[in-house]
Amino acid sequence: MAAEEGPGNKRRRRREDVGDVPLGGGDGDPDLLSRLPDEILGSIITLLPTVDGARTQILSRRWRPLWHAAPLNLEAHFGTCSSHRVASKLSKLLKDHDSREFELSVYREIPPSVLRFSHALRVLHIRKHTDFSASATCMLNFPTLKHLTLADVKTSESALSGVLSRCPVLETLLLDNIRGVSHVRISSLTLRSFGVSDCGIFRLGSSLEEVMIVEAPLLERLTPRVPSNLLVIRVLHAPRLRAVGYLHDDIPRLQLGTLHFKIINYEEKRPDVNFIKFFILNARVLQSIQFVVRRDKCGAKWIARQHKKLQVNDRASQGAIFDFEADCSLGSSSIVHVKHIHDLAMDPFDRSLCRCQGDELN
Amino acid sequence: MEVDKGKGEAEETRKVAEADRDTVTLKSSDGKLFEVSKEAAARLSTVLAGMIAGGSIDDNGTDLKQIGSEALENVVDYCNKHANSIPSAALISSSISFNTAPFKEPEEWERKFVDRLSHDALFDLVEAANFLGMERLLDVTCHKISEMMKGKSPDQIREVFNIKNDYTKEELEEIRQELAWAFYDD
Repeated sequence: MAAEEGPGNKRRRRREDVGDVPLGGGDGDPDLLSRLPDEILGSIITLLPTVDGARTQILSRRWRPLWHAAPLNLEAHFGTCSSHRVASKLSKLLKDHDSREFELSVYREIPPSVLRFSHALRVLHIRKHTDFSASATCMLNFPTLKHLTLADVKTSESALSGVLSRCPVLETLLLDNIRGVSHVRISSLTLRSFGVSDCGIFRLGSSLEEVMIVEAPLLERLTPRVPSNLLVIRVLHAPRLRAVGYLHDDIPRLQLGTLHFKIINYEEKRPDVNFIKFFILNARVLQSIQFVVRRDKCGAKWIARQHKKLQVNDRASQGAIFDFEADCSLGSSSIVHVKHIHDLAMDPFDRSLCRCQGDELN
Repeated sequence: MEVDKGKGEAEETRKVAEADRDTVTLKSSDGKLFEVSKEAAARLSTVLAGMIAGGSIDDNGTDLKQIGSEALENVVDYCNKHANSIPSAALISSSISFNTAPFKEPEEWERKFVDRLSHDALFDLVEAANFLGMERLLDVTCHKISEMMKGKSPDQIREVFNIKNDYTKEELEEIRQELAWAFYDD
């Protein structure tokens, strides 16, 4: 049976009906690129940096309407001497563009004209913004925002909880060293990944002391990043939570009800051993702990020694399982890249898949 | 999937055994036959998955009239490579694992896979992937094309892809003004 108009492919509409001509027989038409359907050219434009993507309009008439309809990855850096110029161009661009999906990275001041488009944002990264107060943000709605980063932002508890309450589809959230807030309470029906850090040193306002996950039914990952200076983390209700880490000894208190643990970079150091032993001896609902260790360790003898050290025979949860496995990746850094907090498809701890450059740490 | 191969898989019962076979045979527009892992085909192509589930797979080679043999060979090669690359991609994990949906960026072998293709073969593969509903292969090939465009001026892009500039001078000027911000640092 021949595969004719097969079902189930969003992008498969062809621009021109080529009838029975085999796809492989592209003779006579040397412009193979422009022959591709709109949807595919749109995907290619989306993969390009903002400027390169916009410039495709100038290629030929075929390309003119494509950019307007393609989802954009928009990067704009404010704070330079030409910021007003960039801002006005950007708001013009946002108005011209038909798509409702934008990705926006801003540094320092966000021009109000740009924030008027908060309803169209899908991704927002704000760094070093000086005024994220309640008065500056109370008018903002983010009905389509899925990924939010606030880094080195001065805000307040009411502004932050107000903004979060107006992000009804937020999936990933990163709060990096925010100031002016000592307690953060997170309640979100859609949040799946949450990262937080606090350096506690260069504080202008009060620094973050406690994060409480009150209600997050879909939360899978909780990532305290370095540094997490004296940060207390409490998880009240996050039944889907599967990954917490990396944990550091500068986190004085972590309270949660999760059942599975995966310990990466286990190295038999005393603080590690004491920390894990504490869980083993006290956690009554523990189902498993998986240890990822350097490949050259992980022999049967070594594992037996760890069992003894960690007192697994005295475990509080009799059914708990302890697994040791060798880490296939190289190096042992306990840094989780920003990208991995926002990328839900990726195991944040699996460095074998990581292609982030050093500058993507921040 | 390959548990019940049965003992007496004789020639005459080939048809019956066909349902249990772990490969499917695909036929290109020019009549060449290719075998591909049924599991990989079903996982990577929505169209092949539909055909397998719907029983419209032909034992003597399912006709794919729209795909030439070179493109189909690449499709099959990709499916088989994909099937083989999975265990090495992640930690060998036991009790808990993360949601291991495919990584968005192409993996090393996928980059190499598209890098070795000629210009024509790359575009044939895009169209074949599109026809067969192979999202991942489309992502990988689109990524390759975007890499070929990145950082180039419109003139350079036109040259690489043979795009004919069909704008009038006036139109071109108008667009350039509209896009002044994008040409700001030129």
